[in-house]
Amino acid sequence: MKNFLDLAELKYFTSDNAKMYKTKNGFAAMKAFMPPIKKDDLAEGQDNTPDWQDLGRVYFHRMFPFDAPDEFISVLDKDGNEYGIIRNITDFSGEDADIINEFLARKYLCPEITKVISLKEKLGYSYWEVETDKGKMSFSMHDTYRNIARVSDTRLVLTDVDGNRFGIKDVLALDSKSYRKIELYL
Amino acid sequence: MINLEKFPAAISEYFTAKGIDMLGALMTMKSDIGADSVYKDVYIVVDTEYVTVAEGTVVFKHERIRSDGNPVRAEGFVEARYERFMLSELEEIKVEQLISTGRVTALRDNEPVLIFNFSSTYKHDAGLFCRAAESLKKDGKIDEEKLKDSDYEKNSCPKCGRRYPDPDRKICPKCMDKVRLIKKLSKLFLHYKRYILLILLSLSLISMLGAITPYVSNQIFYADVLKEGGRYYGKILNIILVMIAVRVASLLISLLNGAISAKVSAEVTYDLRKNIFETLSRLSLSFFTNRQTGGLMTQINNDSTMIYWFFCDGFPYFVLNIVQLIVFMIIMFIINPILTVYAFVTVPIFFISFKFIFLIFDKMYAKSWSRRRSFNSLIADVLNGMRVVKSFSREDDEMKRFDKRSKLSADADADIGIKSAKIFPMLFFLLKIGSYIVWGIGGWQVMKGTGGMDYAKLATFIAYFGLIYGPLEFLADVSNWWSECLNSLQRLFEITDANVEVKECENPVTLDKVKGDVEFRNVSFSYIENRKVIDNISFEVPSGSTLGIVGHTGAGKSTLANLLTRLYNTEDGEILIDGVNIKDLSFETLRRSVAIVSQETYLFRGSILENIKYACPEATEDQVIAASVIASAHSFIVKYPDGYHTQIGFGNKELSGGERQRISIARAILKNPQILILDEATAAMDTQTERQIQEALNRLTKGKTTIIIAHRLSTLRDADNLIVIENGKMPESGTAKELLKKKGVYYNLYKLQADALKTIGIED
Repeated sequence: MKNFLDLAELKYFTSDNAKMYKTKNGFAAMKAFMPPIKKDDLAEGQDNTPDWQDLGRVYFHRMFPFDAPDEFISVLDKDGNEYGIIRNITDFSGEDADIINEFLARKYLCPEITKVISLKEKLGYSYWEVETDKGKMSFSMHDTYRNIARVSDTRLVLTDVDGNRFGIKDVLALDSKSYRKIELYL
Repeated sequence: MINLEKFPAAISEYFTAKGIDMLGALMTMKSDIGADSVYKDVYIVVDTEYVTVAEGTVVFKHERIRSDGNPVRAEGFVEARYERFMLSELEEIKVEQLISTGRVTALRDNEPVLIFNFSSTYKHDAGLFCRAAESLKKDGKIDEEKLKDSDYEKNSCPKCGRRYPDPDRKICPKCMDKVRLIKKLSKLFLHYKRYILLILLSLSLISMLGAITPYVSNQIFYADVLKEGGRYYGKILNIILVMIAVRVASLLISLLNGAISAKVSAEVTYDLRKNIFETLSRLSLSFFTNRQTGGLMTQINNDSTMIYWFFCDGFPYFVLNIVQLIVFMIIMFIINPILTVYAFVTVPIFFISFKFIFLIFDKMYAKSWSRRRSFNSLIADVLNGMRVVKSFSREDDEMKRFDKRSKLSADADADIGIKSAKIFPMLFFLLKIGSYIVWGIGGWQVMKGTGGMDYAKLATFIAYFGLIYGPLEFLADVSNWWSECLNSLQRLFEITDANVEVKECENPVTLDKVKGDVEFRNVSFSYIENRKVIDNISFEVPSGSTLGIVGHTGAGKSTLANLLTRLYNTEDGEILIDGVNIKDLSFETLRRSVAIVSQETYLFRGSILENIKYACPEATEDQVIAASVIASAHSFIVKYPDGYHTQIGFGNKELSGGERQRISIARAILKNPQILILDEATAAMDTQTERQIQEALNRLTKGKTTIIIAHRLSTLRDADNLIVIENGKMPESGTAKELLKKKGVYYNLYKLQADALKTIGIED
């Protein structure tokens, strides 16, 4: 079997062929050594020799946000078309890695719950008061069955009525009082 | 002025100090995430020229306790970022939706610039900000009416001003009140008052007879019949006959009551289900796309049973039990007040421990329920996907998965079983302790002859005390079913109160004869907030012409069809039929004149004939056959043994994708509308059949407006005009020739498909 990995021609960015920078107003941008971006699928006779080019503002997107937040980062343009993949952030160092990490952290901003202060369920809505790494917060949730995603055996992602997300990295790491409050949903 | 957030005094002062005229502000709003992605207080003021953003923290500068004991707080604002944007410099102001937050950005000197960040709580406000800023840039003013029209006021809670999380359900989770629920409940209650009264009456008759029995069989029997000198001394046979008579009467009324309940139960559940179903079918499509239909169905069934139970079992028994309890207690009190007090000593302990135990069980039941739900969903999942499971031979893994969840669910159930086997007998023993006290003290009183006690009185007292357990146990449990009923009712009202998004306007325009001019004017639409699927699209289809809509999958073509049939309302812009906004058209006119054959063909269970006649039940057989012939369906239908009466659907004849499409086309043809939309209606057919149908359709649709949506360009051969949809925008429109000359998107698509033909050796 011809390896389908080769067939897919995945394009990986590393510090050898990509360089991060910030735009004038502080957005993540990238220069890369790659063939020219084809604007037109059918145009023929285009020069395909790779060269350094300025891609301008780019968007990072985690492909496996729960399992491997630092691996397999998709680099996208503003319409969501992929330029290529960062296999692991450790393929970059120094300022480059900082920019990637900063923008991923901004995009995936999600308070991690460290303590459940109170949890009440009333008429199909549950009301949460929690302590998170971003401070004390309270939110309400509808239909706990659908809005608490069990990402793994110990990890939960909660979505409130507005669509805000809250994470619990490891339910077993919670103090026993908090654990007993959420035990029901595990 | 649009006041999305009323600023605290300190903030207004802060802005005024910065030289901003707060009275001249056109829009004020708040957000909660700073430019550095940290939670902050963000205040935004929009006036005619500038957007001003201030970020920081509202702090209490100092606090002074007034003489009356109330604190006076002076608020201050600690600034972290202050930025002004000149509106005229900003281009492409838009929302970038991130994972659970978002940002509003714009282009300034062709460089992207951040205006502010927000969490999902403010996503609606952010969208509103963009629209307001755009209209301000374009027209120099904010059209408040238009923004209001896009539901910012009517979709917020009148009490706290927050928007409802789900616009379909006007329920504010923050200030949902039980009073309203109970008010509505009483309305429903009045609806069923006849039944409830009937049941109450028969129940009270039964309990009255029940209350007499102990008196007759104890007091009268021992004191008047067996005792020497008693009123009925020695008349044992008579008293037994009386006892039998009372028993028989009570039995008869019980039988009657059973029959009444059975009838009422059937009637009320039927009524409730009908009501819920009726409301459901009136709801807009978006209600259903947001929910799982399977879950909805079980919910309707469970809830209507639950509510029936509330009205016909729960409530009457509740009243009855309370009355019984009071009556028995009074009787007992009359017989012997001191003994009564002793008898009830353990009751409060019983109630308290019952409440406590219930809390434990409530949690266990919820756990078992959620485990069973996950286990059931696995079964449904695997059974539906059996084909995939088998083709990748994953049976063993599925077995393991099933086993794991099944075990978890069984564990939870076993836990409940064991705990309840341990706890409840002990609990009821606690209650019974009272009776031992009664035996002891009562017996002692009889022996001593104090308190006016004799054997007959004690026996009567004990008999009544025995009757009291039933009501007590019921009342201990009452709060549990009460909360469960409230839940069911809440869900019921969620459905009945759901806001029908697509509503007929108050004075709808009815057109007798629709010509078929269709016009889209600056239409925008999004299914999910801030994610535009259709972005400012305008086109016209003159009556009688054919419009082709081309574009990649997911470009938004089908959404256009959904908007024209008004399954959804447009977010911005308007759609006109014969110059009338479809929002003003009566549903009758709209549905009569527009028919759609969509890519998801749905056929109901039943015969092919019924399915074709679905939109037009009064059609004759000739018409049905003619429509089928045009749709190229006739030829395969007649091959079936049962012809047009062939049953389709679950467990019956399974039709192929192409056959289903042809039947849905026949359905639309039979309706013979002035405007026909074919949304990939022939995609599952071979090109030859498609050709046949098209030629037949061409003859039929002469003089009618046809909109054909397709990605296969050959489908659009006969279109007078084409529009190209890409990422919700319309980059091109014109005749096929004009578009080819433009060498744009259409040209590319055309070339791609022509190339495909070339590779297999067919040149044009």
